[in-house]
Amino acid sequence: MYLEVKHLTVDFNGFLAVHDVSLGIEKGETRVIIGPNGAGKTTIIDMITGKTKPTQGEILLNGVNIAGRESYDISNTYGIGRKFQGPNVFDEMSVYENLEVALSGHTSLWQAFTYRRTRAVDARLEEILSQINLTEQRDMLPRFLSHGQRQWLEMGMILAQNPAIITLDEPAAGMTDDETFKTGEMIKSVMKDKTVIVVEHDMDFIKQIAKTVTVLNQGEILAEGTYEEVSHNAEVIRVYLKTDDTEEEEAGSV
Amino acid sequence: MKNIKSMLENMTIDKYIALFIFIGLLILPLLSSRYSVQIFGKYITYTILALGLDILWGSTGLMNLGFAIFFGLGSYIFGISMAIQKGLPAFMSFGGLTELPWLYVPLQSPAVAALLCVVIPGLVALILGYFVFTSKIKGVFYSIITLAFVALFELFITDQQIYTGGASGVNGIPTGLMTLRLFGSKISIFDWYYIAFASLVVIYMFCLWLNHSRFGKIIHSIRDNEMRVQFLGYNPAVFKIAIFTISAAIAGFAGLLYVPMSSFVSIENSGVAFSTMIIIWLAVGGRGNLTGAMAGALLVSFLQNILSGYFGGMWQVVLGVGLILIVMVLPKGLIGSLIDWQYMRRIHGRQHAKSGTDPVPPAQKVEV
Amino acid sequence: MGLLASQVINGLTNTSILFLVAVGLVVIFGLLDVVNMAHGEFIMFGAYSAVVCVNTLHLPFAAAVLIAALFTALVGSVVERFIIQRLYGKVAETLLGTFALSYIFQQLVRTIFGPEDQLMALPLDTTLHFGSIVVPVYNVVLIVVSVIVLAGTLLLLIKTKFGMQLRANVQNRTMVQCLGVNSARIDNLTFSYGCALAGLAGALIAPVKSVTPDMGVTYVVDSFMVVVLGGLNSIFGSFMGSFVVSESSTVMAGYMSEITAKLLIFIVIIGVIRFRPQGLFFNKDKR
Repeated sequence: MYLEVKHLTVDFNGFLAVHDVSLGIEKGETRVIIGPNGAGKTTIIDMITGKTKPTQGEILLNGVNIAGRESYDISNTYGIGRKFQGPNVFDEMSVYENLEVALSGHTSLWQAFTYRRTRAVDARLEEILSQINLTEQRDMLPRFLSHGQRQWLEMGMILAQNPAIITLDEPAAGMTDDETFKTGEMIKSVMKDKTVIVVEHDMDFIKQIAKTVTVLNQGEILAEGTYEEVSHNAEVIRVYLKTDDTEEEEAGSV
Repeated sequence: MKNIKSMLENMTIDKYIALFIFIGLLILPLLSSRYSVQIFGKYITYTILALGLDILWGSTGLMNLGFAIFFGLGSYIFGISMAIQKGLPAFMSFGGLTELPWLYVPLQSPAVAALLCVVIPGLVALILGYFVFTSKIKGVFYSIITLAFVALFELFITDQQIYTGGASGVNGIPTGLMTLRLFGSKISIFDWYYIAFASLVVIYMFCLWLNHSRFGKIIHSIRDNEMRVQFLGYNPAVFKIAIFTISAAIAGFAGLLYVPMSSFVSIENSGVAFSTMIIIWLAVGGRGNLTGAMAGALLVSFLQNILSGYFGGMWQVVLGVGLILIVMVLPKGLIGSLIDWQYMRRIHGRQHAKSGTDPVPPAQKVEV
Repeated sequence: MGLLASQVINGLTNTSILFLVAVGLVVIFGLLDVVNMAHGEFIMFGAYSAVVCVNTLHLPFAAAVLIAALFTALVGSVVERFIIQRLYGKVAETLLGTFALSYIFQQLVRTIFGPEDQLMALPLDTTLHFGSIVVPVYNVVLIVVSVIVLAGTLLLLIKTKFGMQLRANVQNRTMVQCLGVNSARIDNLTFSYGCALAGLAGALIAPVKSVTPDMGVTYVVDSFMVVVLGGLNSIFGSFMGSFVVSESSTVMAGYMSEITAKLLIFIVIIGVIRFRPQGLFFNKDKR
């Protein structure tokens, strides 16, 4: 088991945002975590990426417990990249520069001074630009991009980081149907050799990308399985799918 | 060739203004009296000091309310070194000292003193920075701590009269300055002026390089979105400590150059009031683009000189009102607003021309 | 032993002074998130108002104190309406704007009154004797008043309708506006109240401390340190913070130089906020 979450619990002043959650993710897998708002999905990502320290439990990456470490440490040493809910990019730098800053292998102080924009670096960044459909926008400032394009930019930054594990927090949020589809394809093609953990709401999108789906509710795991299994699970339908209007028809038609 | 042409096309107005400032300062001594040269020499040290704060506040977003402390350390170290060249200065002997305190012995060598002017402030910043930036102290609290720090420094200097001259400052400096030799001959005020000028240009180029380097992009990113930077694998504390140390060293060097320009060192240029003044220079000129810092320092200092001649103390009221106006109407400062205006013009110009990519505007951020 | 006891009592007096001086800032910085660098100048205004009332207008001291508080509240209200209001949320701008105000205020006072120390007679010049310890009555007055201010402010915030609106405004402006309350007016009243407290402090310390145009500068730094130590939005915390700082520095100053004492206190405060940045008594519910 590549990434293993064992009995993870976090207590915010008496409120158990995540309670005794255990997951196992294989290398190269694309895992989707769904659940109603407040179920604790983002909190789990926070703990995996080092933003929050768990109260109890372990997060084992290849057997090494990374729970409680600093976020830059986890990013650097353990190669976990994170895409935030809502595009989180550097507004004062161009698209190209955003990717450049994210480029892996140059995060120490010494490297910050000795870095050179070599041909190899440029080639790599151009490659990422084409993977995220932003080749023409290379010198633009993020504020001139559409919302969807800014989401792609952040995904590009993750790719530039070259992590082994990628966590995506609602990558399709606020996108048009067309953009959502493109994003799904992006995840399937560009990230196919990475281990990807996606937090999402959009059921069509999940259907497009998911192998295994974990359903979370009120900080605990409700169900786990393929998209087909989960969307037919009575408990899941009762708690989660019924709260979303469009899904109610689907569930009803089952 | 194409690169240079596009560079000139895209050159922002602040570079032109910087060039203008440099040319002006270069030819100034040829047109004015010895007295003016001394005054403007002092202003040059102020611009170097302002550059130091700009890379700390403008580029990295760390608003330091006690920045004069590093300038003060530099000027006190070199000032005392000059004062002790020909025996114990008055404030020490009147205080009852009969021989040089062991701490000051290395200062008998002007070369060592000059080195320490850069090293000591850097070291102080390194230690303080390590302590503050590895904790959860952020934003306004950092600023408050720097204010408290300089307030304490001021108290300390005033208290340790025997060693520092207290409120009266360090005198006996000119005697020491007379003993200095550069390539065998005495250093005149004109020589000092051009040494300061050359230093300014070099430091400006250094800061320019710094802002455009990868290191510069990282500190800009820390200013704009620290959390994101962390998740990209950067440890923000390391970079903050680094820029703090560099800026302190620059300020210390400015302090060193200040000594021959004023022949006098006191807490007036090392304490709370002067720290506030440096902040005001950057507020008026603009931050993050280097030119704003230089322009602000020169403009405010020059105006202070002229206007206090006419209005006396009421100059402070003029300054206060002007500052409030700037803060409310032109929060990016004079140069900052000019850069914005130029960028907006270029955007509209390009919209009428073929649709190409937009010119990349310089990174500016107004918050703390 | 006698030295220690009188140092402790001196410490209590200094605690009261420091608390009075800092509590206005707790209200403004802690509740409104405004970094008021002109806080010291409001204290200074209070001091000068009291001097004018007593020395020139020959009013009784108590009246002078009240007038001082009202005057500074008025100035604060005007300042808030025309300047601070436009800068909410912008820390650097607020800092700069209030710096500018402090320049203006200091110079105006310097021009009108000159830079000398304004002397004011103690309203009560008697002393109390406890064995070998001598305590000026005025010091006791200061201690009593500071406790009244502490209790009064807490009561105001917790028990009165205004206090409730103020706290609600801090926590959730939009909701407060939806309930039909003018949140801008509450901001203004809150700021004015903080300034009134500063003016009150200035008036009260005028007989015992030097009254100069730049007297505010030391009090600003000390106030911020106390606020940060005691916890950003806790009135009680700032009282405890004042107590800790004053008591220890007064006692220590008996055995070492005042500067060294202050330096040590500073290091301790930095140490505390490094490990507990929210201060000692930060009230989580208020945020």
